[in-house]
Amino acid sequence: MSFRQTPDAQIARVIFRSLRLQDARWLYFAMACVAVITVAGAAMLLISAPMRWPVRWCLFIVGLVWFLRHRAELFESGPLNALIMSKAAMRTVAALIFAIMGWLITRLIANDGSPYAAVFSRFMGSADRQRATDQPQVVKLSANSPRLNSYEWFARWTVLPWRRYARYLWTHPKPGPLNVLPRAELGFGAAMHWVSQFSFSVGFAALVALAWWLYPDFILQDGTQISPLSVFSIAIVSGMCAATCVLSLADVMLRTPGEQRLMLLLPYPKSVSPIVAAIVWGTLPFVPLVLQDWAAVRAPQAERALVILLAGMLVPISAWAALQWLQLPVWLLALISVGCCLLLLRVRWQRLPGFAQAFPMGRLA
Amino acid sequence: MNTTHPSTTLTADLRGLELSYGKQPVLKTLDWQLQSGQVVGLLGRNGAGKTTLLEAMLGLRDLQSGSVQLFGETGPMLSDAVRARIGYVPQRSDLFEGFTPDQLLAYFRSFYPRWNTAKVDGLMSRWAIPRDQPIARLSGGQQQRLSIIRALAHEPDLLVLDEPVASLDPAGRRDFLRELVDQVLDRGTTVVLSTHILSDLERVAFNVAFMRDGKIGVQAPLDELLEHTRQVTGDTAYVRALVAQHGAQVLQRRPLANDQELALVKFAPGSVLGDDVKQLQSVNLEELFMELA
Repeated sequence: MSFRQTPDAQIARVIFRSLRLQDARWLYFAMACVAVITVAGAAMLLISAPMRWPVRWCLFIVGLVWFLRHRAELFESGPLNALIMSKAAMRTVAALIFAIMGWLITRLIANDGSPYAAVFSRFMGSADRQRATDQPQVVKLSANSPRLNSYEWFARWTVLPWRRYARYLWTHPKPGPLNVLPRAELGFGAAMHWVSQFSFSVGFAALVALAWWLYPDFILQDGTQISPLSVFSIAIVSGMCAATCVLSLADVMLRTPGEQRLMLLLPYPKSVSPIVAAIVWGTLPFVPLVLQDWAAVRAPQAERALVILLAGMLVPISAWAALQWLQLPVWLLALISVGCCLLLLRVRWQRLPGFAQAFPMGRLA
Repeated sequence: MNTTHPSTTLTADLRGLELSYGKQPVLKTLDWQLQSGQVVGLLGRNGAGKTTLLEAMLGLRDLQSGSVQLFGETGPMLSDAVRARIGYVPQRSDLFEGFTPDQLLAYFRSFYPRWNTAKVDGLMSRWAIPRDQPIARLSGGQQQRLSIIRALAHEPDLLVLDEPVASLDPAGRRDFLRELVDQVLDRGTTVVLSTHILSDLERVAFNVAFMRDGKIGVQAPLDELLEHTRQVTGDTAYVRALVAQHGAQVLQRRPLANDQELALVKFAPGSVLGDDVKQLQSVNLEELFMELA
């Protein structure tokens, strides 16, 4: 049997085929959602940000308005249109983003040592946390590179609102010993905060509905093609999202060893299982997809896809709220989550012999 | 797995601690016990391992061997309940420099079930710490005061202070010591205070522990130590006879020229020294430090 015929290669082929940009509506739609969520977050930041940054925000708004007014002229020009719609160009951009992110993380670690481990190991219960903190910093990169400095300057200002927002959330947690979320943020970033999650979800729902009502072709042009503007928006906002995540992670984790010592002495939650359980429960809307025969699955209508995606975002929030309200013990939550997953898999396993195919094929792939 | 022994009256029980940095041993089978409500001054020369010991006690250092029990619970992974009872002022005030003091205190407040807001507000205003200025812009002394406030705010049952007054001026030190005394008198807090400022130690510490060669060499009530410890200079036979006669304890022995030696001897309370008193010399804390640390 050649390598191409092995099951692993088959699965890899299916996954790679699903990434074909012209056919995978799901992918487009998910990327558009990321873009909209980010815009929603930015809008909320505009509302909630302290007035000490008015100039920065004014500049941002002026730039945004200018871009919106001239976007058509910008994107209808031939060369730019061709560049954006070029698969090779988009792949290059994606590869660059990943490469830069990797390099940036390396640099952050090199600059500030590797004391990341302390906080994470606190969650993981590792006994080696302090050794990581004590290790000398052996990796050194040039700090005088103009390109590096430019990139850092750009990145810092681009993600400034998110960093400010994260800091605001850290310092305004709900007081009380049972408050798990601000503690979880130490390890997982401000995105874990329920205000953030809930706001993103509601903002996402409202903005998608509004955009769709105003511009029915905003996401998919004529039901089949995607507009150059949408592709550009998705690409640039996806890049910003990636940068935001990485940089906010660094912001959270890059504490000095002394700060980490203080954090290690804080009375943390015993476990982050409720968060995991909420995420697992959040997959409930996708249960039918798991139980279905994937040969019978067709690319969904946009309306249906939107409903499923919204549910996928809102269920974790409601599940989290319910868990907080019920105050269930952690072990029970974990047990229920794992039990539900096993049950689901068992049902699928029982039905599998009757299915025509086990993996996505055809139009879905 | 943590084990709990609720019947114990020890706040901290350290047994056989061993820790090395590379090939250099810092803690050598160190044993140390802290009774509940004790105020202990930890003394030792630079590099003796005081900070390492305090960090190891709090579970911030991984030990090569040995065990640490705090409030009857075995470390290093202490429970939330035990961590909530610990206050720690590190040698360097690493205080999230991007935050303002208000933000920092709000952040820490969210973790603790107990938080004395009145005390925090009182100290913040009395020590004139600007609340809305980034911590990075505060002076070293202000940062140290803020660190102390943070450690006192949740009214810990065990307060570990690693050279907390090094950056403070005399007025700040006096204020801090007053707070410390109040904390101890009001709540019976167990305090471990590492400092090189011996006059401060004499004001607050009822017990002193001298650290040397990776071990706690001597630990005793300070008054008892000053009152009953004498420096003896004489030949070895004389010192040995003197110790045997009075049932005294030799704390430190240093050979001198011509078969002479200098010994630090702690006599039992009520010892009648008689003619020997001429050979004996009282010692102060600084001299004790020079000999024992």
